[in-house]
Amino acid sequence: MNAPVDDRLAALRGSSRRLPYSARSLAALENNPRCTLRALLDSSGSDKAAIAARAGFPSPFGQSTFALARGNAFEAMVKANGCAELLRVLRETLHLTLPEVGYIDLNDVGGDGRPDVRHARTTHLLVRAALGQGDSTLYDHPMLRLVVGGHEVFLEPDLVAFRIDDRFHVVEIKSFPIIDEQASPAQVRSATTQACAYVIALRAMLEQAGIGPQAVSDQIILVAPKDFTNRPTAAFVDARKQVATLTRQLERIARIGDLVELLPEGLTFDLNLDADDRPRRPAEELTEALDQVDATYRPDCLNHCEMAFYCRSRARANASLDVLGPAVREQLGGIDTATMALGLARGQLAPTDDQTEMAVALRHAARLRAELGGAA
Amino acid sequence: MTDLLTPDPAVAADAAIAAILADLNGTRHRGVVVDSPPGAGKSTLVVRAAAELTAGGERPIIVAQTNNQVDDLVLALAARHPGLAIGRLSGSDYVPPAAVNAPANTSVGTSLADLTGCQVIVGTAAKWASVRNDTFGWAILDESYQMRSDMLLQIVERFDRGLFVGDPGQLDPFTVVGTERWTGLPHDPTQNGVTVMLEHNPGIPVHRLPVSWRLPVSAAPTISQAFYPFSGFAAGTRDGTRAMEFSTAGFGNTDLDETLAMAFTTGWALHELPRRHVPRTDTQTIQTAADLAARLLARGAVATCERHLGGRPLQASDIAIGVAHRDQADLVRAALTRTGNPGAARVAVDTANRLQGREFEVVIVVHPLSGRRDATAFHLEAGRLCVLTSRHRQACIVVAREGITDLLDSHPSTDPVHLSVPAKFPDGWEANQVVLAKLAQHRVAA
Amino acid sequence: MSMVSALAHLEAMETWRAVPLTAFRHRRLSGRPLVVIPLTMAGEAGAPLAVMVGSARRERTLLVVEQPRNRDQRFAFAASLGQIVMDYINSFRQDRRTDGDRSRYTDAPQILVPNPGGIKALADLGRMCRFRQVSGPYAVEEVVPEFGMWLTFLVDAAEEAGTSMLLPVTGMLAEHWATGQSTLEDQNLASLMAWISPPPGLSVEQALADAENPDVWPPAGPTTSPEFDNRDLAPAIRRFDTANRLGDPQALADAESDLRDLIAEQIQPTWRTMWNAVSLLRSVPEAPRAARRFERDCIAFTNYSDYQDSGALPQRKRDAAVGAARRLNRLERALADYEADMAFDDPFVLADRRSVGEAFAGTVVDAEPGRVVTTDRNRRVPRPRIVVRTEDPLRLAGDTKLISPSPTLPASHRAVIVSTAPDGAATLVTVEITGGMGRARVPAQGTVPEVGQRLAYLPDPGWRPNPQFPEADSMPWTHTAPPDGPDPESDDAAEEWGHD
Repeated sequence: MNAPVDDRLAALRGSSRRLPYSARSLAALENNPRCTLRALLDSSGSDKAAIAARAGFPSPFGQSTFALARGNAFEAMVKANGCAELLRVLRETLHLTLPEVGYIDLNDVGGDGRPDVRHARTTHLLVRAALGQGDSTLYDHPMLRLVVGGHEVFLEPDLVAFRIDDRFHVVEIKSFPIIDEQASPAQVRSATTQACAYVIALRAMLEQAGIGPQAVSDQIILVAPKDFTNRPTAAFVDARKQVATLTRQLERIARIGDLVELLPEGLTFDLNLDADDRPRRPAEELTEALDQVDATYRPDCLNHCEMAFYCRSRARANASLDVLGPAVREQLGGIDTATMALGLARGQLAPTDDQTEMAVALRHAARLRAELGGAA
Repeated sequence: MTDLLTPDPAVAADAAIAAILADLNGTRHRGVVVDSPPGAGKSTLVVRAAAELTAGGERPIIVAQTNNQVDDLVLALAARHPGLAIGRLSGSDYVPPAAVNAPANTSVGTSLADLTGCQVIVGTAAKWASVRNDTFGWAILDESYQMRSDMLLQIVERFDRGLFVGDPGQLDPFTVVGTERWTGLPHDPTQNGVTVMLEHNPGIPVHRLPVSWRLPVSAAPTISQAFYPFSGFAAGTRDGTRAMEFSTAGFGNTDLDETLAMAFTTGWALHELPRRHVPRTDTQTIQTAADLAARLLARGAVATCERHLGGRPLQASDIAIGVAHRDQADLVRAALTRTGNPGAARVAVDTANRLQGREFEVVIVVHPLSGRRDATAFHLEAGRLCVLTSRHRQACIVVAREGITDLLDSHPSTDPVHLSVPAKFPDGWEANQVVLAKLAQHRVAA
Repeated sequence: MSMVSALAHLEAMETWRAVPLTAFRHRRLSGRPLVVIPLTMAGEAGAPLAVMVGSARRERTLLVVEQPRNRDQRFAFAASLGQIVMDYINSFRQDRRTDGDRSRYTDAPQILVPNPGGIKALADLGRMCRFRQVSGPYAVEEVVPEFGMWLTFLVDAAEEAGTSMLLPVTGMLAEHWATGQSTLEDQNLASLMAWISPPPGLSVEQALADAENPDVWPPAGPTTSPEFDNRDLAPAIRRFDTANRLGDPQALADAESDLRDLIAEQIQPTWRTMWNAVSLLRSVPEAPRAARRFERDCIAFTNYSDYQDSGALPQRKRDAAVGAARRLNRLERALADYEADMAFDDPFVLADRRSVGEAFAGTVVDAEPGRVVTTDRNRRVPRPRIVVRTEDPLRLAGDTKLISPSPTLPASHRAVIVSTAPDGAATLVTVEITGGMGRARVPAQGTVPEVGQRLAYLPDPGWRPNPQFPEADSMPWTHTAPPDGPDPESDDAAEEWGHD
């Protein structure tokens, strides 16, 4: 990424610390690639939750302590004793024939937990293994690195890279259940997308050593509780499409410069934090800045984006059809606001040439509703 | 240009057919699958296989998916094998077109009892599902990728062995019932019958017809790359075999003429309307598609091909307009009437679903993503675009509003992901990109 | 969504008030529904936390699992809830009417949950319970597997369009009212109710803000809000665990009652809202054809009751090939029937179909009431034709078979489109009457529409043959799957539970 763009992004973020991309925020890239506001906030490393809160829309994405505890306990159980349970399901459920298994924990290097040190050791070991020089099968907590929009991001998978038949497989351990061989598609999706970031990072790392992408499988292994028990089971997830999608989205980030160029001079989302990380920037001023950037609100943003409540209130204020979601938008292609649609329906607005036909349909619908005794 | 290195497509196709027929005569397999890309001679194969089986003393049945397909097969069989007694099994309210009643060797009946003297019996899957008890040695299941697994289950007891023929690149069967309860099961009833059958019978041979006799050399590589990325196929004709020429010079109507000229010279054209978000019923898009057809008819064109080496004037029935939605088809028909062209009524206008299996000289496509703000799974479906862009022998003209590139670029990917279910390929997004990249080279701004 | 429904949502958005989408309530509402509000514990599949249940606003029972990770407590909870639900279900197995050589119960149970998540929670609970054994290791109370099977029956039935034995209230409300928010937000019972009937003294906007604030309106479940979990629930469960470990009966009783109070506070607002919603829904007249659909519910209920009485096996974990194909056909048929019923009953739904050209209404402008044709069997039959002028954007093609919801025509009225022709901005539809004219040579009085009469037509959903599949024990070669019998797998009873 070129320097002026980077400077401009830094100015957008202002005095706050840069938030690095994580596997989680990379996954979020796929949900709404069109949204300029989200793209700018993410690529500038701004703290969306803090910004939304300051603008008066605290984000609702807390995590329950029960879910956290369950997740941690399950993972610990699967990995206990050199991943004994993990090996059991790989053998029994996925019917993989495993040779003698060597297990290496890359959590720290002789007590040194610094990312770059761990990354160097991860690289050393995995490249050796890929070249057929290692005898280990399981690599716990490898430290991977991905370059996103010109910035280095360390990805620390709570996962295991697992090598069989000369290929690495990424193993994701999740605590949502697999009941009768099915799991929640949304949860599988988000788990897989995270795993895809690791697949891409792992491939990038091996590529440096001249090893081709086929050394890393795009079949993810998902390990999760079986039915209502605490015992793990496993399933393959075909991640080919998601790897391709995420690769595409990462390439898009590199084009952030096109968006940045269109921003007004001096625009910033700086919160002007004080020594205790309390924002000093007046909320109205911040909102004014946010309002200057296009946002593509979709109702399902409420499920994953910290800015969603802010964006919804903006869409409501504009009477934007985005508020109602895609089903209604689909009907009213080309019309953006409720005001416009209702004006045409009631014959209070004269349609432009493009709108003639939509106006006819709207007036017919309005007549039908009037026939029924409804308003319109 | 002659390419001496590529093998003669006819030889490759014959070899494939010989291998298929050998499998039919062998007794090792309960089923044989033939994947056929667009225009690869699927119907010819069905007719030939039926004749081979009857020659060997079998009394095969043929299962097709629609009454039109059944009629076409009956006529093709009757013409090719005048000595064969052919039965057409039909529902009580089916009125056979005159052509089906015409050949001396066909009879129409509503039950098998009416057709006891027939050596081959042809009917829709729905009609076969109403037959009880009788069993036959062989069934030829045509368009079997469009037949749902639950339909196969209703008719499978009627035959011992099956020849499954179909195009895996076309539209999948669907259900309006939104449930994921069967996802991942080998016998998911919403899947197509071939996939389910193969899932339970991994040893069954799968053949591929390697040559498209329909698609011109200008189209085969793109369609193959976009929709058949793993198997692939080649055009059966060579460069220069197919050509079109106007009968009259163009005047006025510059952008329509420019688009037609592009299509005539290159086999493809993208008629691109100004960028705008519009409902799918957008008058301008719909009218443009109709106007292109009318303009083509008004100017007159002569098409040369391997069947008509001296050229043949293009008729209205040689042209189709393909759309995604039924209401669009209705509007295109109305727009054709508005053009005032006397032949316009005979231009075939239909949705991708209904154009499956059909063939035309020139096809005008209203791009499923044109003018849209969001791409839904329906509009992105690879099979839909595949059907629309692979019906033509001469040229394909796509009408679209500018902006599809951006739409694809910013398409969110939020499809659910299931355990142990292979990702579906070709991916609609990727396939759309391939086709769009091709069209970009044939773009005419309107 | 049609343009007419879209317009309703726009009006709601503009006026900040829900507006009706239908003239009727198409779901039957029992005189005595059982409201069930399940809560589950975050992060753990089907770990029930609590439930509030009862068949009247004032008759509620709160059941709480003090330590949701404890297996015994879970099944004690399942047994208590199971008893309540089974008592309710059994109360409908009293009155049986004979109809030909079969007999069936005259009423059927109806369980109402807040939202689709509530159905999922009951599905999980049903799956968790139905394979349990009542003897041997990990034995559970007798009611548990029976309850599990009944829950599974109800959840399966709920997948069928038009049934009424298990329903999410958000779905019932959103079917009748259009709000100015998205489908996703309509699944929040409190915000949906805020649009339809905000609490007295509050604007819809204020009520909506409250509805999304978990401290004002706790979520209607099945999951609780993370804030509540972290701030209130986790410490309360810890106190319970400590008291339990120390074996201090007073501390244990206190901890238990604290937990109950906490959870009651979370669940009570939803309880009140559920019953408010039930009252609201009761004020909407029930669609005429709901009664016919309810008869099918009664038959399904009777059949399953009888099957239970004859010693039922638990439902399979996943459908086998024939079962799956049968179910798919049943679901498709139910959906088609339900959509046709709604359009037939409800002028609003008909208007939806009209706005997209799949139905039409208009005035008879010409008629040929005496028209007679000769059939291929040489019979002379009346085939009157009429011409209907409609301003609807008709898209039905010639030969489309029609039925008419118009009250002036007999229900057996059948017709077919002969042709359509434009008439300015309107369309003239020539329609041939083919049925519902009586058996005589001449159509019975009032069975052929007259010039000037207004009427509506929609496509006849027609009759579909019942699909015939192979017997389950003779699976054909194309669909033979590895065996997965209905018998519970041996390890099911021994499924291990949470980490203590």
